[in-house]
Amino acid sequence: MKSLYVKFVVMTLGIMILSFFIAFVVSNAYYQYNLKDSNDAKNTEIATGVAAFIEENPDVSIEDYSATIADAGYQIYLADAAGNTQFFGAEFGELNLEDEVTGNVISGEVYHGMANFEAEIFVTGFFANELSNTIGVPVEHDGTSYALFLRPDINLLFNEMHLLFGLLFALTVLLSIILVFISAHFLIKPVTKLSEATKLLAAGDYSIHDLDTNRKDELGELSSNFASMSKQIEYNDKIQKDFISNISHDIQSPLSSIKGYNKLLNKPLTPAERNEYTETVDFEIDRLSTMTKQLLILSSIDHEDYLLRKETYNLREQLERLIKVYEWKVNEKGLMLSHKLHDTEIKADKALMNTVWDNLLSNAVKYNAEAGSIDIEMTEYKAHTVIAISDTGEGIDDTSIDKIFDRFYRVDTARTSNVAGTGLGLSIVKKIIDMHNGSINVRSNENGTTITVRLPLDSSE
Amino acid sequence: MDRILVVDDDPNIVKFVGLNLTEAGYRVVTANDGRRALECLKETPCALAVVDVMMPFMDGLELTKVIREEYDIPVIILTAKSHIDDKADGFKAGTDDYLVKPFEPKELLFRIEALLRRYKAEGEHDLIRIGEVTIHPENYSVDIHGKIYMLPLKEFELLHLLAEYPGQVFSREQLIEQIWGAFYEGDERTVDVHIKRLRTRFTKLTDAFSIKTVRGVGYFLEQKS
Repeated sequence: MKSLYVKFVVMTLGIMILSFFIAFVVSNAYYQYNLKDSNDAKNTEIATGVAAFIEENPDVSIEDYSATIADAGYQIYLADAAGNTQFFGAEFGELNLEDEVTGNVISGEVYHGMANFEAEIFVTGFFANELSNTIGVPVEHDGTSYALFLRPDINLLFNEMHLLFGLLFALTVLLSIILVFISAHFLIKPVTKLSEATKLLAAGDYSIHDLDTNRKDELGELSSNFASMSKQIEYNDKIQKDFISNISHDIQSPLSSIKGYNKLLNKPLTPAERNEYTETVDFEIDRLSTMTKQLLILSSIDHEDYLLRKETYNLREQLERLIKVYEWKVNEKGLMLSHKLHDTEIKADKALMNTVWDNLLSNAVKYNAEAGSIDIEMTEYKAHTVIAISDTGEGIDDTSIDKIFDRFYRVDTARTSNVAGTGLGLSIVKKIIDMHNGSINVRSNENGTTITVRLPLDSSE
Repeated sequence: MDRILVVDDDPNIVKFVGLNLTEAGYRVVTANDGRRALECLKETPCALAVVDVMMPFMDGLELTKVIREEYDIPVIILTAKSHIDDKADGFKAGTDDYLVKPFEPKELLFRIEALLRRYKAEGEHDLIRIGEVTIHPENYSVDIHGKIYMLPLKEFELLHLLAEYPGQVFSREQLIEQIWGAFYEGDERTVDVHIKRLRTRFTKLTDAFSIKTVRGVGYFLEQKS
C-alpha cells in the first residue's frame, strides 16, 4: 500500500506545480495584455513629473535630485548628447538599451520601454530588471539635453513582500504534503480492509465483519456493496451445495430401491410378487427419467441469456390438447376434470408454457384424493389472463407453502410414498412464469389447493 | 369385436401392442410399413388404425393422410418424439389422437375405446338435455353453463343411462349388467359408490336433477322442472 501513499504525494505535488505554472502563464498573459499599458502610463506620468521638476528648478542639481528619486525606490539612467552616462539607485540587470533610443529621447521623444517590452511566456515584464524595460523622457537642464530613463526598483519596494510570499508558498507546499499523507491514510484504510476481505473471500471465508460500511462516500458504498456481494456469494454457494447433495440423494434413493428389488426378483417368487416388484422397479425408473428431464430443463432455463422462443398462439387449444393427454390418467384415478376456457391469443414460449401446464396438471392428478376433482378456470382481463387450477387433495400446510417453489422441496418428505415427485416441477414452473413476467400464487386448505397463474397476454411488454 | 390395424416397423412393438389388444378382445391385423398397411386395409376392413410415425417407404403421417382420405376410420399415432411440433404435425395430418412412446398398454386401450365410441356415437345426436345440464355421450362430458365436466367412464355411463330414462327406476343388477357387463365379478356395492360420487359431484353444481334411491329396489333420476 506504500505505493498508493507515494502516488498521492507525488500527485499532489504535481498538481501544485502544474497549477503554479498554469497560473503564472495566465497571470503573465494578463499583465502583458491588460496591465502593461497602465503600468507604462503610470510610470510615464512619474517620469514626466520628475523631468518637469528638474526643468522648473534649474537651481537644483540634476544629479542630486536623481539620487533622491532613486533613494525613494527608483532606478534611473541619465545620458546626455555628449555620451556621458550616469546610473542612480540599484543596478540594472542588463544594459541592453540601443544608442539610437537614447538619441531619440534626447531629441525630444518619450520612450515607452515598458509598454513595448517583448512578451515572453515565462518572463514577467513587470519584474524584468532591464534597461530597456524603462520609461525614457527628455530633460533640459543647464542648457544640456539629457535623456532620463526610469523604472521602479521592484527589489527595494517588494523585498519583504518577496520573503513573505516565499514563506507562504513554502509552508503551503510542506503542509500540503503532510496533510495529504494523513488524509491518504484515511482514504486508503478501507481499501486495505477490502483487500484483506477479498483474500478471505477467495479462501472461502464469507464472514466479513470489519468493513466500514457506514461511510457516506463511494468507498462506503463500495464496502457495503462488497459486504452484500459476499453474502450473496455465500447464499449461492449454499444453494449450490444443497442442490448437489439433493441431486445425489434423489438419484441414490431410487437406484438403491431398484437394486434391492432386482435382487428380490432373482429369488423364487409368486407371479403376484414378481409383478409387484417389477412395477416398483418401473416406477423408480420413471422417477429417475422424469428427474433427469427436469434437470435438463432447469439447467437450460437457468442460463440468464436463455432465449425465449415467443410466438402468438391460442392458449385454449394448448390447454385442451393437454387435457386430452391427461384424460386417461384422470380417468384411472376416478377424477372429474372440469374446465371453462376461452379463446385467448397469448404471446409466449409455447413449449415452456406447455411444461408449466403439464407440471401443474400432473400435480393436480398426483396429489388428488380418490374420486376427487380438478377444475381449470380461465379468466380474461385486458392485458393478462389468469388460469386457476384447483384440486381436491389434502392441501399443503402453511409452513410448507412458502417452500414449494424451492428446488427439491417436497411436501411429502417420505420419499417412499407412491407419488413419483422429484421436487423440481414447481421450481421449473415458477422460473418459467417469472421469465414471462407473470406471477404464480398458491392457496390451500384441507379441502384442496388452487394454483393461480397470472400471465400477460404479451409477455414481451 | 372390432378389428384394429397396427402398423410399426419395429416387430417388438407390433407384437407387444398386438398381444395387449388381443387380450382386450380385439382382432388384430399387423403391417410393417405404410404400403403394406394400405394393402391390408383393402383386403380386410378395420375399425381403427394404430400407426407409428417413423417408418420406411411411407411414414406414419403420410399413411394417416391416405387413411383419412380413403377410409372413415380413426387413427392413433405413436411417436417416440415428445416434441410439441411433432404433435402439431400429427394433428395436421388428420390423426385423432397420439401417444408418446414409451406408453402404457392400458392407456392405448383406453384411447382406442374412447375413439371407437366417439366414432360410433357420431351422427346419432343422442345428447341429453336436463334443464341447464347437457350430456354429451361422444366425449363423456357434461356441460353446465358453458363449463365442461369430464367424468370418469363408469360414472358417466351410469349418469347417461339414468338420464336417458328420467324417472325410471333401475335395479343394481340392471345397472351392473348394463354398465360393467354381464361378467362383472365385483360387488353390487360398486353401484352405490358410484351413485354416491355422482351425487356429491352434482349437488354442488346444479339442481336440475337429483338421483333418488328407492329403498330395496334401486335408483332413478328425478328431473326438476
